[in-house]
Amino acid sequence: MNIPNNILIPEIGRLIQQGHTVTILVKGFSMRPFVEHCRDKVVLARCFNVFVNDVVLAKVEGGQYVLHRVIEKDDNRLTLQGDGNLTSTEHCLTSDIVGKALGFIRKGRKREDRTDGVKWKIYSFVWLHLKFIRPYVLAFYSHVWLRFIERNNYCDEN
Amino acid sequence: MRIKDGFELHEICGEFVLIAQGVENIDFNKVVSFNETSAFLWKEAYACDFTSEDLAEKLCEKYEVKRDEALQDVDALVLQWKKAGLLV
Repeated sequence: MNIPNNILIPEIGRLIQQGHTVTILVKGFSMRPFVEHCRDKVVLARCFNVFVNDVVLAKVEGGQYVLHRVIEKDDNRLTLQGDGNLTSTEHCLTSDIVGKALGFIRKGRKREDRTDGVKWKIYSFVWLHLKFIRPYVLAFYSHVWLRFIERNNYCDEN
Repeated sequence: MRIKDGFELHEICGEFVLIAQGVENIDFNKVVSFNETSAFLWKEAYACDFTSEDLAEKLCEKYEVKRDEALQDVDALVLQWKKAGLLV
């Protein structure tokens, strides 16, 4: 299925509002290095409360949908940033959230890495404190790790 | 034959996807997608007993297709539905 996000995601939002959790394939590179384009899936659920460091699928300024981390919260205004984005941020309201990430199913595994689990928390803590060396880590990840160690270049997939 | 209860056909931008109701998690990577013709046959077959011949007849009424070809296509589709566990 190749359905545009502006049509598919409201449908996903409707199912989430009905109380389902929804699993979708992640597309895009902005949540690297933990979440990889066309390799990993995200499990989304209804968002009752949002906190800094939560990962949300939301409609941001310009009408685009992004799956990014909340880096600032001011009342109902949120600032989002992809883990793999060094400078660019997005803004939205809490009412623009379609769903909150409960976990990620990575590398074809059956079990998800939950966002309330130790692994995600350690990753988040480390990544958020590596701000100044993130460009080097990301460059190593995409040019060395994916090509020579994991031997998968997900950049080529659509 | 009969379609199992608990499935809902959703139309999203001209694409049809079958989503199991009552399931907590909906995995969009595992949903069954239908084209327009198979969605039409699903709607015709839903909530009633049917045979391949019944569906072939519906197909001939809706589209300009020879009965033999229609029956062949319906048999192939019904086989797929059976394999996917959608029929009882």
